[in-house]
Amino acid sequence: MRDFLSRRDFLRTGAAAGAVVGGLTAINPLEAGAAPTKDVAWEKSVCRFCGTGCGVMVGTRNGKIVAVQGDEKNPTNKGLLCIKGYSLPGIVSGQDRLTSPMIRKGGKLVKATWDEALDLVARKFGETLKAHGPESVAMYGSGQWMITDGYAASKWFRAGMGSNNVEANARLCMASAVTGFMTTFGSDEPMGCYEDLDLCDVLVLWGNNMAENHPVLFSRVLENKRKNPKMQLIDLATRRTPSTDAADLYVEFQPQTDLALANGICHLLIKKGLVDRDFVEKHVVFKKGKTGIGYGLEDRFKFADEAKLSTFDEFTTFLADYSPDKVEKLTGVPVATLERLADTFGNSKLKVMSVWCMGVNQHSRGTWMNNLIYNVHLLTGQICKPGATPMSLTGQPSACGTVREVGTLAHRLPADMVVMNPEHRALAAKIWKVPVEKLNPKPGLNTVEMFRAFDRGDIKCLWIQTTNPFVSMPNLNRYRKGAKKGEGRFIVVSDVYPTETTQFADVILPAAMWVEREGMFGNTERRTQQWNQLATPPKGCMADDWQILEVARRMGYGHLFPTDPKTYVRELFEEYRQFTLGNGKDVASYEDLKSHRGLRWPVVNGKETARRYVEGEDPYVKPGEGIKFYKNKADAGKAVVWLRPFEPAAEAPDKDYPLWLSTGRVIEHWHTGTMTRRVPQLNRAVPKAFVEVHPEDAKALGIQDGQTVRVVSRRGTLDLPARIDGRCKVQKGHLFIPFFDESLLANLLTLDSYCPISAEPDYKKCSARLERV
Amino acid sequence: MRAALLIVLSIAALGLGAGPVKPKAASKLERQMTPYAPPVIPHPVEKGQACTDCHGVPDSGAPDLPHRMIANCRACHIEQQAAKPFRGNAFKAEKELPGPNRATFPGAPPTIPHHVHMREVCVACHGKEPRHGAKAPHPERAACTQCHLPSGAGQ
Repeated sequence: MRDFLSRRDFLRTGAAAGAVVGGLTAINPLEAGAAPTKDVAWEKSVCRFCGTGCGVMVGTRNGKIVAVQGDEKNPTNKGLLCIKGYSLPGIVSGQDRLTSPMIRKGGKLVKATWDEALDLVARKFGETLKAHGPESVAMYGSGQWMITDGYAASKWFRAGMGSNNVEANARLCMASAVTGFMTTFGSDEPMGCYEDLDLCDVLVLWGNNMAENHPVLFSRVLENKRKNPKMQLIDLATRRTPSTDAADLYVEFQPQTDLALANGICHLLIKKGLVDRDFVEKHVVFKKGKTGIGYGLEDRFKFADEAKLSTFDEFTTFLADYSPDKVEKLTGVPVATLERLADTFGNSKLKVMSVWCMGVNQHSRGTWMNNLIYNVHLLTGQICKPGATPMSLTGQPSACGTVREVGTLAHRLPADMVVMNPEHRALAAKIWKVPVEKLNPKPGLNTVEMFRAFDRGDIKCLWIQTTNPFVSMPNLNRYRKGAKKGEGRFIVVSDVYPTETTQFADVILPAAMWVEREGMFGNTERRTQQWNQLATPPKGCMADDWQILEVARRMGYGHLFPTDPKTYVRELFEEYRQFTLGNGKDVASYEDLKSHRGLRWPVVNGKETARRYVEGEDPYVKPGEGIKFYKNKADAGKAVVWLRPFEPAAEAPDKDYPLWLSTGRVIEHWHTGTMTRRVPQLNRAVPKAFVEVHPEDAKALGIQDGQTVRVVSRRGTLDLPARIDGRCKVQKGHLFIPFFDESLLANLLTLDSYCPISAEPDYKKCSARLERV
Repeated sequence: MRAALLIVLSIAALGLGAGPVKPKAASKLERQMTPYAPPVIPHPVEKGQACTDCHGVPDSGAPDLPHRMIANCRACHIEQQAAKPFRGNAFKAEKELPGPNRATFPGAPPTIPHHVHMREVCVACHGKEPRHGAKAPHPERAACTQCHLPSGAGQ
């Protein structure tokens, strides 16, 4: 240890930043293991899966996980879990855990020591940086990154290498939510909280299968329904799901036409005099942006929106295009249903809440669609009141806490700040103790462009942590071929199991996961949660953040990071927290996180905030202000209603590919299934992917339930079993494939078009045809 | 006999997607990852069949609900098909952890020796047809927790 510290001291004083230093000995803070316990000890943690952030109690004996229960003291889930949460003990114990670093030698991955692997990674990043500049290196992380992982990655890249090419897979799921929040409210993340699910009179699901993807939150909704028999659940969707089974009204629309549906509701709100004029007067400005904005299909696609102020009158004129008749024709939603929706949102006696997730975000107009849902809520004043709020759900346990709040997207810094803003860079440079010139003002590449650049060879060195892009990227054929090209490309992958992504790696670094290390996640309702190291990882596994620190040290950036293996997590978090204080994004103190079941930011004087922008709840709203969208300083604390039109999808069914193809999830598997498929019970529930086919389409083709069929798109072909009338039901002319199965890759078929504002791909819409095999 | 069963099972395994299959007398630990996890559904589920068509219906023969009704049963209880493991898993479940004591003092009603979360309806297991626990000697005294206190087992 002393040896290590003396070398670190040498680095701090002696080494020139950027010069690669060899001869360091890796240490692994986790090797000491979890505190030994003779009897089973139960301690709080957080579920490893979705963005709900359910509290779990983890029972361990001598560093081994014995069992998991729902944490009854956690207000998020009050003791309930879904089947994935109850299966947590099995996700760490797969027999093929990666436990040794591997280096590709002569085309084969062979075992290596940590020092060999870390030296190689540092050398490659250092050489590439020197030879090709900061745009030639990239880090691709995850909404499953713990807060300190993302923070270490972002700081190493931006303050160390001067590169903004640090991205995360949350780009593929939450980027449109971020740009939606930023453009409407000037600050990311919801104003409401989960308690609103218990209090609402109406819950509107916008393209959201909450029953399967946020099951514990859905249980809260059903409990609300049980206690409040008048409560209505309205399911706006393109496909019948278990969420539909519980709905009072199912509103089926054609893909992409949710844009017209939302505008149609606003049209009727104005026509029927259901606009809350007082709220609009006090809290809303109107704006319009560019139209005909493209689909991000070309390499090096660029787009910058230009906002122009508009007026309520201009908005009314703009909505003339969305008369009920026209909207019915486009969406397939009957006029009477549109009227009912408008009457519901416009009924000031009802508390109306909206939730959405991938259906709205993975959308070639995802930012617009987020804006349009806010329009409906802002026009009716159904916002910032208990039970009345729009709420964007997240799919990963720390998409909010890490990617969005720490800012591990190519243009972002912590706490809603961006690299393009000189004041933001100055503040970051101050906290990071680097000269401001070190921070690159040019945003890095978004995820799709990053993988395109890697395919072209412009990015040469790519480190992937905690995610599986060679299953989850759209248009996989292109990016998988790119990864195999070699020609100087270098891929590092940190993961816990062999995956489709590790097979492309030049270096594999075995990671410790979940309660094998101390960690922090931030969930959908702004709740930051911490847990202690409770289990001992398999020997050889190292935490993702410490892996980054070890490489950074080897490149001469050791002075940027804490060095004490016992306290580095706390030190990283406390430094990050400085960014958040005093600007409405204040995360709780480390001590408070230790002693609470999480706290919702802004946390001021130890007190959390249930609802943002609301006097009496949010300490940043001054007495007498009532509601204030204080983060949107550019518009004097008002929110923005955007004039956003309907524009068609990037690809729609035609003669050759006559069906809509959508992709998504099933309750039993999480993301690319690398954890859940290793749990025997979950694997037996849904052992492989399938394609949902409408019974009439199946009949026309003469295929039976379970029969293997071929799905063909312009990008790929996939043979898999047909599912007809399963628990979810597609419309006639539609197909749906879950993406969890690495041997039946749904994303060979999908299109890599993206929302030009958020750069989030549209996984929900492309065209395909079905063939008999 | 055993070979025949194996053949049947392997055919079932090959015919994946052919619908839910009743797993061969699955051990309790196969049905539940841990004693704290919800058991899997050990029978095929017919299309259009709701869990509450049988469960919770008196004299239906189906096990009663041990916890209050939560409408989305399938968020926790999942169907099973015959399927090869995706990868091996070394997790070995332990038996439920016993509580610290059986009775507060001699002669007192015994405390509840297991965790009680999601097991609020005692008679679901301890009723006329006991399933996992002992048969209650006096199930007619419906308010069980008036006398039998949680022992803190499990947490």
